[in-house]
Formats: sequence, C-alpha cells, structure tokens
Amino acid sequence: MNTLTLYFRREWQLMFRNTSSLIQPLTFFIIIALLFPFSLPAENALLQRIGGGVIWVSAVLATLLSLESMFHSDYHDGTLEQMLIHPRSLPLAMLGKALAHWTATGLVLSLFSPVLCLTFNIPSDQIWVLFAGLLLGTPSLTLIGAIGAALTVTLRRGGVLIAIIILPLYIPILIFGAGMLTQATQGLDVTSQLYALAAILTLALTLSPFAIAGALRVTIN
Amino acid sequence: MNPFTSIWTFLSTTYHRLGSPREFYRISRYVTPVFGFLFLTLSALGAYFGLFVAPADYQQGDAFRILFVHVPVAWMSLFVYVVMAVAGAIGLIWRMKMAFVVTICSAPIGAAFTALALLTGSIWGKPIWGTYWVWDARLTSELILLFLYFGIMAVYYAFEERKTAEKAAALLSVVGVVIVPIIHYSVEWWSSLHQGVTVFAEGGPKMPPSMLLPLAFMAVGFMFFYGYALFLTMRNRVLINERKSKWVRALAMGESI
Amino acid sequence: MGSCISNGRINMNWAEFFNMGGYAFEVWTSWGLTLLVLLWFVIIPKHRNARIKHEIKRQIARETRLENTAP
Repeated sequence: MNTLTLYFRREWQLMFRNTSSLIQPLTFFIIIALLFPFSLPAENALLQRIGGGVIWVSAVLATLLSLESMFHSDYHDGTLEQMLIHPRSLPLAMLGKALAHWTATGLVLSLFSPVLCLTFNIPSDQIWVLFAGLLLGTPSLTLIGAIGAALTVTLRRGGVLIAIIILPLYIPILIFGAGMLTQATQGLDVTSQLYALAAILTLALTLSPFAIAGALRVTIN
Repeated sequence: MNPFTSIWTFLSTTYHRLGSPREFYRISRYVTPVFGFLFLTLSALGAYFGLFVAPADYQQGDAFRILFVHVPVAWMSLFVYVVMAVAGAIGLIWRMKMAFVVTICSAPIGAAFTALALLTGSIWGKPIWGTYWVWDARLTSELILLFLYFGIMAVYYAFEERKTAEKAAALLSVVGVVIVPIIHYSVEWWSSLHQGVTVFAEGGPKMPPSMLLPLAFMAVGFMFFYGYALFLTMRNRVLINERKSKWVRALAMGESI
Repeated sequence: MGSCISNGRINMNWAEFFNMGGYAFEVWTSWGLTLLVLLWFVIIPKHRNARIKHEIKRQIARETRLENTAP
C-alpha cells in the first residue's frame, strides 16, 4: 500500500473512532453562520445578499478551528516523531493526512452548505455556485492551514498564532470564493473564478505537502 | 587569473566571511556607517529637492509632497519582504546562520515601513480623496502585508528555542512570498469588482522631472537606510546569539576583534 | 515654493513654506512620522548595543568572582 493511501486510511480510522471530531466543525460552522442574521436587521433581501459571504467566512473559521487538533494527538503520543524518522516520504504522508482531514471538515461543510443557503434565501442556481466554490476552495484552506498547524504543534498556546499566520494567507481563496457568488447574483459568468480556485488548489496540492513536512522537521527535534 | 574568476573568488569569500558572525561583526563595523552616511546624504538631497525645489502640483497643491516619503516607504515594504524571504530560503537550504539573522532583523523594519506607507497614504488620502481609507487594491494588499509581517514576528517570538524560532520564521516567510503575488492578484480583481470609481487614473499625467528627481533620491536613500538599520539590529542580535563565545566576551571587555 | 530668486539671492518666505499651501498638517505629520520611525530604528539599536556589551561584561565579572570565591 502506498504512503498516501496508507496515511489517508489511518486518519480516517482514527477520526471515525472519535465522532465528535466529525461533528464539532460542522456544528461550529452552522452556529457561526446563524449568528449573522441575529446581528443584522432581519430583512430577507439583505440576508440574501450577504449569505454567500457569511457562509464562506464561517467555513474559513470552522476550518481554522479544526486545524489546531490536526497534529496534536499524533504529536503527544509520539507518532509524529516516528513519521519523521520513517523512510516513507513525509510530504506524501502529510498530503494523505491533510486530505483525510479535509473530508471530515471541508467536505462535510460543503455538503451541508446548501441547507444553510436555504435559511439565507439564496436562489437555487446560486446554491450550486457556492457549493462548487466551497468544494474547490476548502481543500486549499486545509492544505495551507496545515502548514500553520505544523509550525505551531509544539506550542502550548498555538491556537491564536495559527489564526494570525494563516488568515492573511486565506484571503485569495475567500475573495474568489465569495466573489464568485457576487458575480453570480449579477448574472455574470463565474468560470474564471472557478479556474482561479482550481489553480490555487493545484498549487496547494503540490507545494504545501513539502511546506508541512518542512515545518514539522523544523519544530519537532 | 582572468577577471571573472577573481570576481567569483571575491564574491564567494565575501559570502563565506559574512556567513560567520564574527566576520560579519568585524566587517559591518565599517560598512554600517557608510550606509548611514549614504542614507543621510541622499535623503537630505531628496528632502531638499522635494520640499523646496519641486513646484506644487497643479492638481494636488503641496499635498503631493507627502508622496516623497510615502512612495519610497511603500516600495521598501515590498523590497524588505523579498529580502527577508530570500534570506530565509538561503538559511533553510544552506543552513547559513547569518541568513536567519537577516530574516529576523528585517521583519520589524519591514513592518514599520508597511505601517508608515499605510499611515502616510491615508493622511494623503484625506485631502485628495476626501477619506482616510478606501478599499482599494493597493491599500488592501499593503494591509495584508502588514499582517504577514506580524505573523512572522509572532512565530519567531512564540518559540523558546532560538534555532527553532529562526527556522520557523524563515519557513513562514518563504511560504508568504509564494502567496503574496496571489494575494495581490486576487485583491486587484476584488477591488475592480467592488469599486465603482477608479481612484488611480489609468494613463494619468506623466511624472515631471522635478518630481522624479527627489523621488529617486529618497528611494535610494531609504534603501541605504534599510541596510543601515538592518546592520545595526543585526550587530545586536549577533552579540546576543554569540554571547558565550570568546570573541564577544573579549569585545565586551573592551578588546578589539 | 515659498522662495523666489532675486538678484542671485534666494529669499525664503518661511511662513508660507511651513503652511504648505494649506496642507501643513498633512505634509508635516507624514514627514514627521517617517522621521520618527527612522530615528527609532537608529537610536534604539545603538542604545541596545551598549547595554548588551555592559550586560556581558557584568556576566563575566560575576563568573570571575564566583571562581575566585570557590574553594
């Protein structure tokens, strides 16, 4: 079995043994998104306009929250150190781990997003745009965020630090993802934004495993 | 010996000498004042031409004189970031001690340049645009850049062990420099989407020489300021890092090295 | 600005110069802020350099004292 699938499957088994790690990000995502209607004038037109942006910000925050625990248990039980000295390719292992992490967070959030769209009265043709954007954007969020998680894994108070170093790097994904919906509401074509998100995802898939591996080698010694 | 070989030998010996903290401390003692002198001369000339000689702009009046500090500072904010990331990459790849020192000492200077660019920009924007802040592509990118600098500094100070901290900050600066162009491009696209009016007129009036000259003096002067401030802070960092070594102890006791 | 050349001599109108055509506040705050930041990055490291050397000197003195008093 190759390194990628091995670590992907390992991560899956660990996550499904602990179902709370699956439910927490999704719950957080929904709660954040539902805070906005309460803090704004309850007008359907307004909620419809801001809904896409709100859902994107919630997805970013939910991903960010889930990142902190990404390497924690592996670090504390010594698995991570074993991975570092093992002859298997560390970047590939990290790619498998990050992708498995994404299926439990980003993918679940994306699948649930149409339901949230309904509460914001977003028309059905735009729901598809948002869904496609989230599906393409959230893997990049996890892959880039994993670099921050790897850099801060040995720190006791790493949570705020991850947010400080990673959120600025999330801005392009947020801009294209949420901007896509703004385009769609004006009846404009969104393929160029989809391409941009896909390009970012390609970059993230190819480069971030090396950055994650490098970060782990730096912080764990 | 042919001239190229001798230039190469000179460059490689300089590189290796600067790679040693002690040699850096020795050489920088002479280089730092030169940088300071060049900075003072060039920026004094720039200030003289910018404040006294250049005639007031026909559209902006005398407010355009802010640009003689704003523009060089904004250029430097990006320049410092690139230097920082290149030094970080050199440090990570060739394990060069002094490269990490360049990265760490550049971050506060770069952050200060970025903050200055934002501040002077919004002071200029108030009379010219009628508002302190516009969600314009350049301003927004600059603000994000400031947060990238903060992130690198935060990472460095989060680790107790210096070597880990240096490497972590260097790695983050390299990651950042890959993403900076993407951020810039995306923010540009975003501002064209959100903004009704374009603030910066495309193909506007070309810069007259009376304005270009002080700007050039200031820009080069600020480049030397960066070198000056960088070497001053690097000298301190070297002393702290090497405080247990013999030569630093001898230096502290007043001996020359 | 604020200056005119007559008979080969430069006559400055300093009040007009400092007024900056009504943009005195904006121009001088920007230049002043920049100057402050530049000064900060020169004065603080120079001050710190002396302090670091002093600290190391004290550390050496403490170590030699300990060595001398130790039996």
